[in-house]
Amino acid sequence: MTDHENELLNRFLDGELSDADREEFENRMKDSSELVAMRDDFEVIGAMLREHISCESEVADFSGFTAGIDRLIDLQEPAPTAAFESSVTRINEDKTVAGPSNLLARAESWWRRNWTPVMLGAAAAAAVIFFVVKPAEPPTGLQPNDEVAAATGNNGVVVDSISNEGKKTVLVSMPAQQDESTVIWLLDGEEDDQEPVEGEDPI
Amino acid sequence: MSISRSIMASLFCFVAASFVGVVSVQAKKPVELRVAVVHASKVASKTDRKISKRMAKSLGAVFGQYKSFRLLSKDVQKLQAGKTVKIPLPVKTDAIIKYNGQEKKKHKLTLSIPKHKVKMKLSAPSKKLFYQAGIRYKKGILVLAFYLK
Repeated sequence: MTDHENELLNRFLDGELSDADREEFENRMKDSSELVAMRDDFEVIGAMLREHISCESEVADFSGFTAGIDRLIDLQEPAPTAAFESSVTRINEDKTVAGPSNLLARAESWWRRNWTPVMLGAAAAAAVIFFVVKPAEPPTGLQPNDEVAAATGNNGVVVDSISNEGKKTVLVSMPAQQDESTVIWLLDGEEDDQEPVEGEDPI
Repeated sequence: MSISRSIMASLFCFVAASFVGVVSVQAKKPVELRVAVVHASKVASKTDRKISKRMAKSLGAVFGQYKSFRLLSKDVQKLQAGKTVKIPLPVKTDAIIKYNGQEKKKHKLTLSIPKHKVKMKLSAPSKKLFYQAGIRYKKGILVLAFYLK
């Protein structure tokens, strides 16, 4: 029997042939005992399978079958209203089902549902960061130094403490005006000149 | 998704992103110290063209008794709290700056010159030029110009 005949036989048994094809195939079977024998075998096998399935279905428990399918569908794409209510119980129930691919699917689903608030939040945060970080424009006519001085209430550098264990003299010159700078002098004292002559008033 | 849940989610994302963003931006903003070592001389000469106009004007005003200024070195250092930076001087010693962090709007620094056993604790605002001067060098003095950014 050729593959074509085998296919025609299957379609004949499944009732898929048109009237003309069916009539032609029946005529062909009259000339081929092999086709007839094969058809009989298929019919017997089909009858046996139907009988077996019928017996099995009487024994099987289909209560909860539909609920199980619904639950699996919910896992793939949770319904908006059911997502929150059943999320905790689902996590506990489906630990064996939740693999990496399932987690990925859930993450995708979550993103599809929440991308709007996430993007809104991120945009608002970006705006806040921009205004927080952006340096304030200096007022017209003021130099950067003036801006700092005005903000700090101090014109320049302040020497908090000095530790001088050497022979030099440290002198701090604080600015009298805003455009001046603090100078920390380390005076390289002229030791010979500072040494008073004996009997001379040192100051 | 209900409207209230959307609002709550937006609010949460806003707070979280703001916190992360501000912290990361602030954390990535190092303090920069610009240092110039200048030779102020009593010998009249042209002011070094390598010295910026702003600093040349300032040097002339603050160190008026000196006739000329020559830039010996210029350096930019990134300051980190607790870390020190060395500024080599042409008199076989270093000036050492230790950064002690920031309080309010002022940077806390310790400037020391080990050779002369001098140590000073300073509070310096950003964008303000200040000097350490007086070490004798070739018929003049050394001027260390500092600028924090």
